[in-house]
Amino acid sequence: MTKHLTYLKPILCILLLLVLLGLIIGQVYNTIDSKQRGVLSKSEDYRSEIETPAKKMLNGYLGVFFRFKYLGNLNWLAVPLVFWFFWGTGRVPKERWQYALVTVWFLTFLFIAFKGYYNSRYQLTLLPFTLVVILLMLWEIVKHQKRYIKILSFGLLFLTALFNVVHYADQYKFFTDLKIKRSTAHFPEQLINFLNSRPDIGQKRSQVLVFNQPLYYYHTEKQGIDYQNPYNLRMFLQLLRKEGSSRKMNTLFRKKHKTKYILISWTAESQYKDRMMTEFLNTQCKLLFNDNGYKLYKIRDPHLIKELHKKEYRHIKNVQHLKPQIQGQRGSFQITKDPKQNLLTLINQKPDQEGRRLLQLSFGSTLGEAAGKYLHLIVEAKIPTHLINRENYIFIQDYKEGWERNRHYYAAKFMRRYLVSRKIRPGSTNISLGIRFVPKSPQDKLTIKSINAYISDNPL
Amino acid sequence: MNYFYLKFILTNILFSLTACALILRFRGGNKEHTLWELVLYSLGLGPMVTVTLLYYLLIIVPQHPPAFYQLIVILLFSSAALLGIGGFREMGRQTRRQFNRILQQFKASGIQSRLKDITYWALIATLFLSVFYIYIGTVRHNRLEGHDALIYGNFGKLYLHQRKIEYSNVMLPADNGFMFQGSPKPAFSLLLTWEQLVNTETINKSPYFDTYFRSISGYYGILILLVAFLWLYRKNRWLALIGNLMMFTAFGFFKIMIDLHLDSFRIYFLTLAWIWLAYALKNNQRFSFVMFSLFSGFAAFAHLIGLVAAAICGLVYLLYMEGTFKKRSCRSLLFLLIVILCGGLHYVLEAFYGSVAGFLSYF
Repeated sequence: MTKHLTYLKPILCILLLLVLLGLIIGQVYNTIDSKQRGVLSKSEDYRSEIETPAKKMLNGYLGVFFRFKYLGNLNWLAVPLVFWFFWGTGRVPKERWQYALVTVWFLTFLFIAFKGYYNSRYQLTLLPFTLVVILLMLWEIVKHQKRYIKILSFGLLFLTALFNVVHYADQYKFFTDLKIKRSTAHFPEQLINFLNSRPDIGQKRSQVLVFNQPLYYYHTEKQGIDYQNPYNLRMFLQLLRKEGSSRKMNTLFRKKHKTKYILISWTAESQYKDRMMTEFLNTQCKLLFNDNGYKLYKIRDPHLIKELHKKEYRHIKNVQHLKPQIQGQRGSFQITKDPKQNLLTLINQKPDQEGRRLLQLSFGSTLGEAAGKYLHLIVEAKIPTHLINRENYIFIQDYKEGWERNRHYYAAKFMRRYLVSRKIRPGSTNISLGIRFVPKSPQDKLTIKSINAYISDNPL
Repeated sequence: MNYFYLKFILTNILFSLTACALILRFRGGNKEHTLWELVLYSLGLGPMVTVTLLYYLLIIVPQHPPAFYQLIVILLFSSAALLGIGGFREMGRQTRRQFNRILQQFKASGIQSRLKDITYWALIATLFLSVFYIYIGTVRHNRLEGHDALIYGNFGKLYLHQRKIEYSNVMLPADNGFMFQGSPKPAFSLLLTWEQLVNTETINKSPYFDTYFRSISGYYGILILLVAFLWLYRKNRWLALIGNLMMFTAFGFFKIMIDLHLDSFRIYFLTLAWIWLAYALKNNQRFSFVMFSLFSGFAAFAHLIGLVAAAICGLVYLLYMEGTFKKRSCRSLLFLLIVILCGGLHYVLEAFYGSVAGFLSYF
């Protein structure tokens, strides 16, 4: 039988060499490429633990062998053991089914390595088969050895299993608590119960725009509009625009599409943070529910500006004409006011001696009347893309035995409106509205078009 | 929860044992496999054969009341049970024989040997009790979540509401607005459809409405552990213990036990397809070949990786099997036919009538 199967050995050899060569070339290419680009990878790569070229190679393409965290510590033995089995066991004839299994396993590995390398779930496909075959082969090596060698081998295997448990103990504990003991609830149970208990949500005239949340359709029997729905695509495209009027969008949603709610997760929100969506959710919607990262918004009716014209909202006049007070400054800044275009521009000139750059302006020293009430700050501003981070934002803060601050981060390089609200604690001795600007280089600029503030007894 | 026990016992135990009885009845002269091995392999067949039947029923006779589909599936399995009555008898005979043999061995052994046996099986019991603890805890406390698992679940609901399976290039939302740009494989989703056919009115009325669907991941995870145990036990029982421990302590395997996804479901069929490929080439018997084709088909029905693996298996079988070119070609064609019948039809229909968003576009 082995005689006419001898041609298979060189074929397997050539295949293995080709793959090895491909992997080496791939590694070299990835290393050069990452240095050229200066950027290592996307956020999905971080989630998949393949964010660097080396990790992409070991956890990604060769993850079946080297993704120790998910697949245990033994899988890398598959390659040497296969070589040993076919080429190291002398003249013991090999069977057809053995060649067949190696071929099937190897081709499936290639498919997973190149098509599903980014997800450990796909690499897991080969785990049961690979691990059992490795253990069977290891048994072939030790079965005729002395008893103590067998015990030693089993002991080593046991230690590798134990090592995995100890090394990732916190992860095991986290998932055991999360999914088995349920000591840390993570499912948006309250949101689902709320949706199921409200007959006015998810009907023909009060539809919910659902942003990639299959949970809504699965756990409720409500009507939704999927964000990919071709009949309502315009609504979604409006949200993805870089510019436009959030006020018009509000009307489009409510009047044309009979949509009154939006269901979205914080991950989707952050994914679209430089789009019109951020402004729309921030200024034209009320957050009804935030349960474990799943957010349900109600679209304002009427739209924000119209609502602010109601009696219950008192406009604090001339906030933007007040001379801003500098609350904090690191480095030197140029602050210019263009009365014609009504623009306030903050430009960084140089950092301080320690290389820091920061400017924090406050607009409200006479806001004592807001104590115990709701204060709302609406700012129209634009900021360079590289400064969209957790350091640049607008805020409202009050002081009562310590400062407390509500903030909203800038989200676009285009002129956008941002809203932040806060219930001022009764007895606050100091209240201020402000903007925080932390540039990274000279000539970084924050442009502010308008600043408005309102006081009300009820939340906006 | 009562519906869960009903569905679990009916589908996973009774239907699976029926499949095993049929296998025993029609395995011919093949005595290579022990009863336990065939029972273990069959335990995964009950749910899969059920959803395959349901798939065909929803395509051929769509839009009938839920009771119709249940009745037909139960009738088909009852007929299979009658057909495989000889298999049940053999199962009973062999079980008695094996039990007596184990009992006699135990009685005949010395105290030291008995102590060893008791220690070993106590360790195994501890391991599997831990696995059961995780299984029960996960099924009881977890709601279905995670984007992909929910997509499969939503398709299950969609099949239930429509009571048909459609193939179309046009992407339209379901009545409740659900849409998905992808090509999910129907097998896993149909498990939910099958569960909900009994209790349509309780959907989302109780957090336990989909318990059976959520139990699948852990169930097939345990079957994978048992298959690994069986193969390693044949060489050395301590190797089996260590092997199971190593499998279970691989974090990924632990995750597929608790994630309520389809991974253990698809991996089980793919692994068994490979085991039967080895048998088919080793003994060149028709029985092993049919089992190899069946499991390859089910692996393809479960997932796209299974389809690719089935295609590779077919080619490898053609390349390595003994016999004339004519015999090889006939077997390969037969393999293709069985794979298509066992769920590969889904891909054929997608290719000709269109998938919602691209043929073979997604895993």
